[in-house]
Amino acid sequence: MLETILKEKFGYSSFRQGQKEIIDSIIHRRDVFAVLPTGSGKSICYLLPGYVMEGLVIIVTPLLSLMEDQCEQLRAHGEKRVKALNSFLTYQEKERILGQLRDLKYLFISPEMLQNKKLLNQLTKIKIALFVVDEAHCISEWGHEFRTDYLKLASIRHTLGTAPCLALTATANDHVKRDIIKQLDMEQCDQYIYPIDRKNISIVVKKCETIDEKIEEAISIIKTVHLPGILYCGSRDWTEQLTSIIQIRTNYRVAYYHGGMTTEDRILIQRQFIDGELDLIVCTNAFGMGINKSNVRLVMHFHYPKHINSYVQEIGRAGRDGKQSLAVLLYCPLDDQIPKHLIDQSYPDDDVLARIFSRIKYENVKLHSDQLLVIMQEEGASETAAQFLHYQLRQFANKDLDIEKVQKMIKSTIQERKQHKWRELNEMKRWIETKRCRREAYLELYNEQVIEKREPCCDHCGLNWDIFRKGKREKRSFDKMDTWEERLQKLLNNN
Amino acid sequence: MSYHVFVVLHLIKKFQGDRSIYGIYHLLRGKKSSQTIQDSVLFSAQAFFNSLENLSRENWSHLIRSCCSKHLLQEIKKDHFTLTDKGSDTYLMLSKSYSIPAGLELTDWIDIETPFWKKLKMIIQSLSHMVHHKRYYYPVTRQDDIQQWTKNFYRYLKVNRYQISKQLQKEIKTALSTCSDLESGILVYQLSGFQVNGMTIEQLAMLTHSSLFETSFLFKSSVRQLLNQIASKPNKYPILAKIADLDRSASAVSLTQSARKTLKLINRGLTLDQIASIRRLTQNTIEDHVIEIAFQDPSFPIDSFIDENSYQHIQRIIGSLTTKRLSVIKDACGQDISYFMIRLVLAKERI
Repeated sequence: MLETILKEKFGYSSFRQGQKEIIDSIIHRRDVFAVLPTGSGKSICYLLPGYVMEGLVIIVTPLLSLMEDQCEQLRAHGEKRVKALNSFLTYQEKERILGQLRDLKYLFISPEMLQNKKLLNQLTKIKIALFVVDEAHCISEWGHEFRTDYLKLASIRHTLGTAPCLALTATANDHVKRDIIKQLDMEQCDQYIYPIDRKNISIVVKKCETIDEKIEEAISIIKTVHLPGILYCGSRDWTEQLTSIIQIRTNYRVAYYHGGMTTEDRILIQRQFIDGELDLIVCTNAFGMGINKSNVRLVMHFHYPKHINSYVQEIGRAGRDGKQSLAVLLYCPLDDQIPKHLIDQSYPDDDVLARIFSRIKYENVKLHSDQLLVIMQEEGASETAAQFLHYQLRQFANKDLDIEKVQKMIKSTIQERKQHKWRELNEMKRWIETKRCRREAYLELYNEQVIEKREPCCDHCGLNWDIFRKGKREKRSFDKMDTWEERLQKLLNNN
Repeated sequence: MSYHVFVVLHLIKKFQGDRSIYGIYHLLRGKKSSQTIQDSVLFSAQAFFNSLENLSRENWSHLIRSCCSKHLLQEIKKDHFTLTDKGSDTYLMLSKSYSIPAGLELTDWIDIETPFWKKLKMIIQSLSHMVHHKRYYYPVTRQDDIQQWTKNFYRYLKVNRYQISKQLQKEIKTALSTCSDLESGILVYQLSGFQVNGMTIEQLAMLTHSSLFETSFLFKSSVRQLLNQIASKPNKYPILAKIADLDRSASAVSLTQSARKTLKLINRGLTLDQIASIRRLTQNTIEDHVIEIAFQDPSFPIDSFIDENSYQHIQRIIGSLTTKRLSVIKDACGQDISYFMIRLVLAKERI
């Protein structure tokens, strides 16, 4: 019966690893903690029960863009009873959704929005089928300092009744797992933990001496191996530069994607990539979450990410169809500058902090006031740094503490957070430097072992590039263009 | 690159160092502020208003810097530039091969061009899916008001989708008749629909081997020609006219919201001082609003802000000077005349 729904509503003829067991537990009203590797169809685990169980499925999601993507994807499948609630909506839009709660099947929501009393009050009046926390590792990763609303989810869930809770993530080591289960108060839950190892992705790290050498290496790989591919860069600037270089040097269809583009351009590029109109997308880490494309053959990193978790997530976008795929990380000594810079930028430095505090003192600014954000940026804090500081300061509002003491405490929080980030970065770097099997090395960080070794594994186990080589050169170029009249005809006529 | 240089030189020449490069930047981005709107008329640069909506500040200042390093521009004071001799020569040379698309000058419906374009894209996408019997698709815009508007649009029309689709296709073809093939192509190729994904302006620039600025201008030129056609013969284009919604947009004198509030208070007889304190805004801001209102509405009386003598005095001084720089005019007018009075005269005279 579950298979029938799967086919009818989602168009799949069989369940993938883990899905059925998890859904079964949920339907039997058990709390579930699940680690499913990226690209294994996590969302089916909470979407399908929606068609079996009576009531509303609430999905707590950390990122706005992710929330909107999930919503649009569901709608594109014909499910209209779905809304996303987040603090970026206008008052009227929020009110409109509040009025419709009863008619909804799926509600995507940010943890911050769930604190809203009015909403909670409305939610207690309707039946809740399932309470889902997606990307649950965020509880542990951000909840403690950054988004403490994540720590209130357990009490909210209990307020809403006895609906089962599903905590989902793609990457969680033992420490993170225990944290999530504790914070969501689900000690008795069923646990489904599937190996994050993706056997069909071969892993390669290539060292280069200079940036130019790295560019040459990237181009030669793109020219030889199967595509479509994703090329991750550390900055927006680099995505644009590399795109134009690759465009000049190859005849592939390439486009860049980053957070600085308009939403509309981003949607277009994303659709082009998904629909196979692009061979390569050159992007920042803004690209990927919520993207469903099964035949990505290559994920290449032009700069390495700050955290091995991000790396695992990003290479996991290759080979979701199970076919052999390739992950290449290019590294040159100069690359170390980028993550260092990113970490520094996320926090205000000592001078900036001192200036901000002296203004708070002399202008007598309230610690919870929004005016602070303006002051911070005037004093030279980056946007992320300002948001971080703003959140930290609010914790001290109304506590009547000496402002100098607050400054000291925040300074030490920044120290701690930075050290934490540095530790993560070093973990990533150690992995790049390792002489062992790369798969073993990263799985170890998740307390996992390589169960059966499959060729080709990684550059240290030895791998034969011929497997990835394209057969006879696939000639690629823009299709012959229609005239604009023909194009218009194609759009609006069905003949 | 050289088209970009051509545009920079063209604009710097127009503004003669009287406005900062960020004033010009706001103009290109179509910022809806009194200052920007007024400047665009003052320096006959309306065509460029909203012409590069997505230009980033970094790109713009980078471009200016690179023109400087080629000695095409000189900085006369912070962020204010004029052409060097080499710049003027280069401009003359570039003008032989480059031009600003004529359609850019059709600025009557400039306020609604962006919403019109967004609505048009949504309508085409939904129609395209409807006529191919697909009910669901991934919308090209996430803007809730545009999505909502699209739904209501069909409710209002109540005609069968094939008819609408056929009619709309015919209307677009006719309305684009004043455009070049290149302009029409740039417009149409951005549209998405069933099994067709639109392209970004940047991709189209690459495809046509032209610069991003030129492609953006050609696109704006095509939208403006389209709107102009619709406005001149609304009966000929019933569906497009409905999407453009010209009637509604024409009725509102285009004031910023804040200026509108100030106008209400002025009409109730309050002084600028009083308005500033009621609205918790600075006197400067309120004065900006008055300038904006005077500029937009020729019938707005200004005698309570400036006496007849001062008005004529300022008028004479402006006539005798070649610059529109406020500080120069102010120096020539003398102590008793305020900046506000000068700006008011400039607004009223629409210079």
